Amino acid sequence: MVEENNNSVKGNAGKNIIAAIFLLIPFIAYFELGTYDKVNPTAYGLPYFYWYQTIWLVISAILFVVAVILLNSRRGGD
Amino acid sequence: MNANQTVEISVFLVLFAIFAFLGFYASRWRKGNLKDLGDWALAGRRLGPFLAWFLIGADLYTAYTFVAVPSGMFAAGPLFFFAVPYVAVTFAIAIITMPKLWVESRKHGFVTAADFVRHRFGPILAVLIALTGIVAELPYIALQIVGMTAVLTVMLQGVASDVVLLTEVSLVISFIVLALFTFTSGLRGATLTAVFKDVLIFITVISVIVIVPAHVGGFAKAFAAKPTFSTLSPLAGSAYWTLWLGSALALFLYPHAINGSLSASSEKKLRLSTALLPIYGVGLALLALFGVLVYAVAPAMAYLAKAPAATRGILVVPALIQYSMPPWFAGLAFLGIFIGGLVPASIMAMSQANLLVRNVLKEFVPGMKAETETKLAKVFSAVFKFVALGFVFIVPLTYAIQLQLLGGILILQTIAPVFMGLFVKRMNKYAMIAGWALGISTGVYLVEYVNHFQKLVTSFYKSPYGLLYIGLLSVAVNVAVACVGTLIAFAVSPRKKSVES
Repeated sequence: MVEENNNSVKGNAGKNIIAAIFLLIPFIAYFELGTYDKVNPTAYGLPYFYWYQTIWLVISAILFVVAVILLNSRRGGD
Repeated sequence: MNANQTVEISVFLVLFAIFAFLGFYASRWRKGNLKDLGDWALAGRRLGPFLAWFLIGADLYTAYTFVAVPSGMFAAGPLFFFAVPYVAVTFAIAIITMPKLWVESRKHGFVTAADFVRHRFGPILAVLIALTGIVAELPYIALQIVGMTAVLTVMLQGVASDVVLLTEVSLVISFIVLALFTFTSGLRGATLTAVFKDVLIFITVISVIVIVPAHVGGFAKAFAAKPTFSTLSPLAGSAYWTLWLGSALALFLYPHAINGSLSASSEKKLRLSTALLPIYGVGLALLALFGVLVYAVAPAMAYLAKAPAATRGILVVPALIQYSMPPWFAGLAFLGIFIGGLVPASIMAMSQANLLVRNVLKEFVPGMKAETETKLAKVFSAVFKFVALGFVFIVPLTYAIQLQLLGGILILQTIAPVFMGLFVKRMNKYAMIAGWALGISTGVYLVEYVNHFQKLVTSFYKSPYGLLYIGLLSVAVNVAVACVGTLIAFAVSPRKKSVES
């Protein structure tokens, strides 16, 4: 479905939607507190709660860059 | 003054001299017409992705962040790690809104968000938005100064008989230097010094996080001293997400964040540098952990135990550095944090001045010449800095932190015209004015209510669904009123729309 959208004439709309999903993922990841509010496994003496959220900063940046590449490649621009 | 302090303070002073030089030199850098407001306040809108990244980053990770977040971690533990999800998701919001605002601003020559609001929704709403921005920004600047004071307090201990006086004199001198170079170089000065500042901050954060745990027996020892800090208490779950979400929505409504974004050289470059900003947050996460790490550093804890309880928190990071790193390094780190307060204070005061002159004064003095406007903005950017400085000298430090709570709630109320207005041209301005007024009253009343009309210590409302951040609650009221009002207005007279562009 995703690729169909991309190939269609309305490619911009498809890119917008995929970019929006990429932008939303970190919100969901951080919203699911139950998945990371625990001590183990620890890393470098740090409880999971801390290092998990820190690593998600890097993942967020990667997701955002993908989203931005999509947004910047839209035809016509804004 | 002992030999260690001489080294520490000398390093600090030499680096401050380099900082001041960069600030003044910046006026010649990519020279433009500094009599033009867009040029002075937005560095000619010519910042590429790299510099925009540094500038917006410098804007957002401030002395307040370096001081308030670790101080919160030190006192309350994991709840204050909300700063991490907050800085991750705030940039998703910025990627959606800021490039759009950039395009509008380039097209119509806007310098502030209120310029945009005026263009689309008329002068009344624009004046309200501008005033909200000016008021909300003031405690933010004051808190930069609180952070700078913390550094000086630790660094200058025992140097003179009256450390408080020495600290205040040092602050006044640095603000004069700052005001002078902001006057001549504008945002260019802030940008060049931001790069310098961030290099120092990154060196500091990475060195401390590698060296100190190895020295004191790892984070495990710090968490052993504070076992309750290992996870969030189940009761705090709703507090956690409402706080990070509310803060994330607020950040890019602050005039200084918008000012930074508008200085990018293109819409696409702005998007890219914004996407990379969560990386910057790793530094913030590590700094937050300083608030726990300090529990493993015995001499720092001994120093903090002697400090008055009210100001203990803000001294956490400087004390940790002072008591675990060599003096020359402490001098470098302290200057990093110190100018980490000065640079954002400069950008904040500039954006306040732009709002006051362009969006408030000009409404009452139509036909103001462009040159007069720039001149006035330069003068007011200095005035705002010294107002904030005076404020910090007069009222207790903790009072500034309390006002910052209200500042965040206030700035959130500009969301409907600034963010939603970007995408929905048909938003009704009267509905948004009503939303703004109700959002502010709900927010301020609830904050007063939960604090029993006493000192402001909390910004959470205890609901049947758990603790909720009042900022998010009040902005929900605001947005609901603005949307429902717009729908009603549209239903009553669908043809009469307030579309101007």
